Amino acid sequence: MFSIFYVYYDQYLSIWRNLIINLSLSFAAVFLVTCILLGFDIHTSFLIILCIFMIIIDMFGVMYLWHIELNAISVVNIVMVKIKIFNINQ
Amino acid sequence: MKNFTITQKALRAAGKWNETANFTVYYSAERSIQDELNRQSQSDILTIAISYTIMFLYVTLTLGHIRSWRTCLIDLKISVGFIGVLFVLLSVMSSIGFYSYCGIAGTLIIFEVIPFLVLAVGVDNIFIIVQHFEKSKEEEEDQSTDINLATTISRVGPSILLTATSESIAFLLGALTPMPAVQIFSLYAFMAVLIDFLLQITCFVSILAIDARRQDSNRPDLCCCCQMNVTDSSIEQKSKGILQQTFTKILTPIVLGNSLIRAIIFSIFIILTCLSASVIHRIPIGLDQKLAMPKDSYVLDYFYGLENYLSIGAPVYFIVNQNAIDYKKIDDQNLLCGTPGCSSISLLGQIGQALRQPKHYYLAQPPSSWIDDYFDWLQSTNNPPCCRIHNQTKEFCPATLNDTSCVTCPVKFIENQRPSSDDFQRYINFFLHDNPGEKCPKGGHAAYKDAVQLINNSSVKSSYFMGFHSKLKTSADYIGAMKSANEIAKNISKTILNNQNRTYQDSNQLEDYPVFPYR
Repeated sequence: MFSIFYVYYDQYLSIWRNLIINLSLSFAAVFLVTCILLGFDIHTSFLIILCIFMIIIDMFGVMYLWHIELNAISVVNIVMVKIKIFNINQ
Repeated sequence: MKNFTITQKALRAAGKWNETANFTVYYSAERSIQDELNRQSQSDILTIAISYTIMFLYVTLTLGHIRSWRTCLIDLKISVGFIGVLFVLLSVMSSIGFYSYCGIAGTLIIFEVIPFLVLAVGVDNIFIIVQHFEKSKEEEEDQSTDINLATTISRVGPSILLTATSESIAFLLGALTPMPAVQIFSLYAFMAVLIDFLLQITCFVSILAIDARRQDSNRPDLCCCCQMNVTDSSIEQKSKGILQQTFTKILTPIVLGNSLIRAIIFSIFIILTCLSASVIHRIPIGLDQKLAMPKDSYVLDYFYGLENYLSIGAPVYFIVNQNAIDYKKIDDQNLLCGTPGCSSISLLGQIGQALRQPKHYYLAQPPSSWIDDYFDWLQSTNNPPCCRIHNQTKEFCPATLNDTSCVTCPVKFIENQRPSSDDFQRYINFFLHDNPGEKCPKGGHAAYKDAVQLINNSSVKSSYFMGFHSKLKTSADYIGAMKSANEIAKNISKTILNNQNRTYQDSNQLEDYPVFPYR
């Protein structure tokens, strides 16, 4: 007794908010961890965060160019990529 | 349809195949998409297996640091690479096991994606450890293997710890999002990365130590029982690899040498970032279902037919919540009804206004209103009238029944041709069980039996009004339709609450909304 498609599309109403919350949380986490483990070297940690931030923004640009839609799968991928970049950055 | 099939069969039997292709049927069931996705992922298993094998081969073959062709068997590190990849699989399995024990169900995407992710992360660490170990062996040849390994771990340990911790924490924080797919994925990935890290700094290092001893005693990889005779003189001093040379001789001087080049590179990246930032808001939201379907799927034909030939979209329900409205009161009836004389801010009035902008609100048809049809049914002046009861048993007489003891319902109409509250409750159940027919087309059994929920067969608890969206093609259409339905329902809720002298506020509790779409 409901419109079936609503169940699937409900997530898209808040997808941007979720993505932004998720990204900022992981940015905060990465910043904290690098900061602590690098011996409170805030300058370096900030540079690392800036680098990751720029890469993430560039990735959004590529998503627009290639007409990749924003959905649960691409959100998972973005979060994964973010963490992977961090790994490479070290 | 039956006639069609019989005719087609007859035509085919007569050999007239050309005349059988009169129309095409596109079909899809509620479970079609799920079925087709399952079919798709089963055919994906081969692809996954192949990519695993290639990744595995790459890791095992490139891990060894081959000094010369004579010692290549000794220098190979197939067993170490194999164990490194095995640890990745082990950690994924332990993660799955852990969450199965906790009762958190995984989805298919987890089992497909997480091994790759952990493999990518884990293999990095394996390469770092092995390469640093080789380097420290070259630098300080007089030291024992154990000491060398210890120095290596003390050097690379912190950086591996740093990555592993931040990855784990980032994944753990990802589990805070409300999207279930992301949440479960993050949880599984967190545990897998953590366990893989623990395995690497403990077990993998010991395996590496054993392997180094094997290499020192000139035994070939995979077959360490036999010993090979290799004189030290045959081992050439190897030069730096091409990759390393490019980095030290070409890339580093160019990038870091000239401040002008540094400025240029910096500006290029800043510009790229700004350009990308300017288009972020234009990224489309949604999932093109056609992309997820196998290419030979019948659902693709259905989507094609939906886009090109259908003129109406999915149904939309506006549900009036329980206890939101006292249906027997005329003032409350006026908040719902849609016939001439009802207010323009009523539920049906507001939907009617939205219908004038079909592009914006994605509505194609006005909702069928049980309350208006009920009033019409009570007021009907046909011969015989719709509402009749048996004069002795007080049971309902359908319009088709020819019985002289059936008399017209003694409905007492008060202002605006509305029934009194008692009469409203007395006859609603009859209306909901009257089959519509030639004599009484307003009977509500077919259209409204499920739309109205009664308590004790008399008072209405909750009800819905069903309309139809206009044709929805893309994800953007579906999302727009959903937003518009939410917006309309919100406005109606506001009006109803205003009329009851209550204030509207957003809330997570369904009971707080008098009217809501779907669910």
